[in-house]
Amino acid sequence: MSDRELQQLRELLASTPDCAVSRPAKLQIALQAFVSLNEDASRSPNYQSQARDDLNSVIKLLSSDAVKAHDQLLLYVLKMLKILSRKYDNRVRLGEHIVDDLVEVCPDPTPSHEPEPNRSLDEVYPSPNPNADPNTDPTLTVTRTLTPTLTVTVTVTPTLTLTLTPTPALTSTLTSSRCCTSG
Amino acid sequence: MLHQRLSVACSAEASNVVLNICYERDNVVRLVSAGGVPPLIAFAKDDSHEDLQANAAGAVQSICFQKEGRTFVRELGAIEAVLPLLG
Repeated sequence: MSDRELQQLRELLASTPDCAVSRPAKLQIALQAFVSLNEDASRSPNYQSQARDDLNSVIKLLSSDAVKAHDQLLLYVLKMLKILSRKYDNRVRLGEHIVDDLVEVCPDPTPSHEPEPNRSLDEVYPSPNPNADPNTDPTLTVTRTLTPTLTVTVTVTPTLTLTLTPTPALTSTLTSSRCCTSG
Repeated sequence: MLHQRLSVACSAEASNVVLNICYERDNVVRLVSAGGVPPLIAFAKDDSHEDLQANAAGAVQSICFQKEGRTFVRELGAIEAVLPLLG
């Protein structure tokens, strides 16, 4: 461990493993402390130190979904990686762990020519959409919620008819629930 | 707008990390396999964000220090992409 700031970051992650979610401001301060001290390579204590750096903390942070969803945290994690990767030993060790995550946070801006998933079909079709993220896709959540209690009938006529028939249990739930809107 | 600006900053910083780690041959091979080169070339073409463009061009240069990287980058049309930057 070559830097007090790296040590502090490791201690924070050890004491609060989910700090990217529960204490993002504190995590950001810890990251900023390391970055501000080392961003200028000519004055960087980390770059001048020959001691072996503990890279586990920063590798874990880059792979964290909470960090990837928080632009400021992600920015500082990337700055930290840039600083650490100035040293040969760190480049070798980091490369084994971070390339996939780097590619993930650096998506190709070129428009894809692949077809978009058919969301309206997904709503009535019980098989899961392979493109959907089961943790975040609201369509999938709705489909999963309704499938056990909703009968869907599709009649192909000159004008397509779609009938949704709730089971008695769902009807009871729907009629006893209050509907909230943002208005 | 803020989100977009920060995302661009993240992409620019990620390009810097790629620039550094791709001094090592094994990392170039990993990056090529993981599909990390096409975004860099797209960033290098995009003149709407100068920092991102410069960092991405630097990362492409780093990749090209290795034979595997050079070949792959050339096949992706990177020469045509970066030539306008010289003019």
